[in-house]
Amino acid sequence: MLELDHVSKNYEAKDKSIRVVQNLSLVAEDGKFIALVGPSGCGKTTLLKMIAGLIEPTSGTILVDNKLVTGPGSDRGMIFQDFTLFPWLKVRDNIAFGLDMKKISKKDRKKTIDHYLKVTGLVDFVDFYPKDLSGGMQQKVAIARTLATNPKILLMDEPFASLDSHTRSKMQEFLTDLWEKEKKTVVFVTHDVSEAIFLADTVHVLSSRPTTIKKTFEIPFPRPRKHDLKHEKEFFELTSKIAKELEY
Amino acid sequence: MNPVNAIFRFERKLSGRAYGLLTVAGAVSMLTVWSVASYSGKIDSLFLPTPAAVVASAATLALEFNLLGDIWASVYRIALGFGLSVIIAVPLGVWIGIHKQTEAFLTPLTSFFRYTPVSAYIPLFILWFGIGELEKISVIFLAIVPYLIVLVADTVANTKKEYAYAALTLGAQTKHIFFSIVLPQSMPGIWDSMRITIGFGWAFVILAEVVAATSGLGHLIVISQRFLKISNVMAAIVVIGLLGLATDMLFKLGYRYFFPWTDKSRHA
Repeated sequence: MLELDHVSKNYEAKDKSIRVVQNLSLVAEDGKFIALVGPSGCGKTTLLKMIAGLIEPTSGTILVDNKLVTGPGSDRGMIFQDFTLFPWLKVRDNIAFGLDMKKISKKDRKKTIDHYLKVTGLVDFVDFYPKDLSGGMQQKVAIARTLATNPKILLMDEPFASLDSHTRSKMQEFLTDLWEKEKKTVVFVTHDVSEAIFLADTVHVLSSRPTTIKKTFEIPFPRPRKHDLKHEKEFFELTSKIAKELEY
Repeated sequence: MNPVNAIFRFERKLSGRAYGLLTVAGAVSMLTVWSVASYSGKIDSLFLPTPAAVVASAATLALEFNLLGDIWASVYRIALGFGLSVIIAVPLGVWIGIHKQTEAFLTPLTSFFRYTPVSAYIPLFILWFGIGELEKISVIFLAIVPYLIVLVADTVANTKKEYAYAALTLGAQTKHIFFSIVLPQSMPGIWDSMRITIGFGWAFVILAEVVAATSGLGHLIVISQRFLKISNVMAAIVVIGLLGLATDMLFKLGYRYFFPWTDKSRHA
């Protein structure tokens, strides 16, 4: 379980202090898909980086299974908005990066790589370098690379934001499929309301900076969810309701 | 598309054939200008010999004199001077690039030697080391090291932080970051810095040989000048240029071989 308790974050610029996150509390049960929607620049990335342990909160605590987060670790995998595959490694070795950091047997290494190549449909691209992959494929490899380390929590920072709309909805479907199989806890940050509703069990609407949770919506749509869901009346209504909340 | 847009559209793709053709065209146009200037008789052949005369001089120098020996002497000095420079400058540059204290400590040294002309040290080096190999290698070393350190340090300092972040969330420890993220990401830049600075090697070996030497292409140039053999001087210059081109080509091929993952490797 992931718990954020009254987390705040200030950035210190030369002579002033800018508050980015304000007293934010949040609980994510194991295996839940949580989406955070907020206006751009509101501090969503800061929030995820704090959970990842890449930056420290100014005050408040972040607990994973009742243990205080003090630094990054492979129990909290992160998928970034910018493509961060290591360009000098082939797809195979990108996926294996986390495994190579903890020295596992060759056999297990191969098994894990093969599994995630299959899951992501990238078998034919195993010997490609990232520069030769499309944006969507790069993000699939990034997801595979993170899942291969078997994290408890998956932190996703607008991972599909720089993809074209067609690839984007394909990737959303891919992610729900994957999540329905793997059942990780996911914290997914986006500014796209329909993406949040389509993917998540719970959508938290964030305020603009300094950000905090403004309102929480439980998403009632059954799983497995397919793309057609986006054309249904209830989906549309919920989208406009949350979008309105986001605007004020 | 108008030609200005065609040039500035930042298109980095070109077929191997077109690249080769343009390369040849570039060389031919240089030769053409030279030929027109020399064969037309507008410029006295004492000042500007024809391409044919220069080729003939090169052949004579190679067959009847010791051109190959001179080439070897210069190449040997560059190889030693450049090799030593790489051994010293690359680790120092990497260290500066990852460690602010080292940067602060070494910056006055590297900047000082970058801005003091190497030629000014030649009298000192002759006094200290004589006019043998050590003096020439020192000149090359001093020309390359301060620049190579700075180029390498910049490359390393500019590695993308995001990759390190990604690695940390994949379970990497801070101690892994250097070897699995910083170094592999910096290697193409370090390689290019080497490619740029080995050119200094050619410039300064000739300088050192012009001042005091009994062998090498620089020595050949001085001797030829003394006897007003301008076509020999030019033959030596052409040889230096061609060897430089070959060096550059080797580095480019090496880049493509070692760094197939870079965008640049396709038509490096």
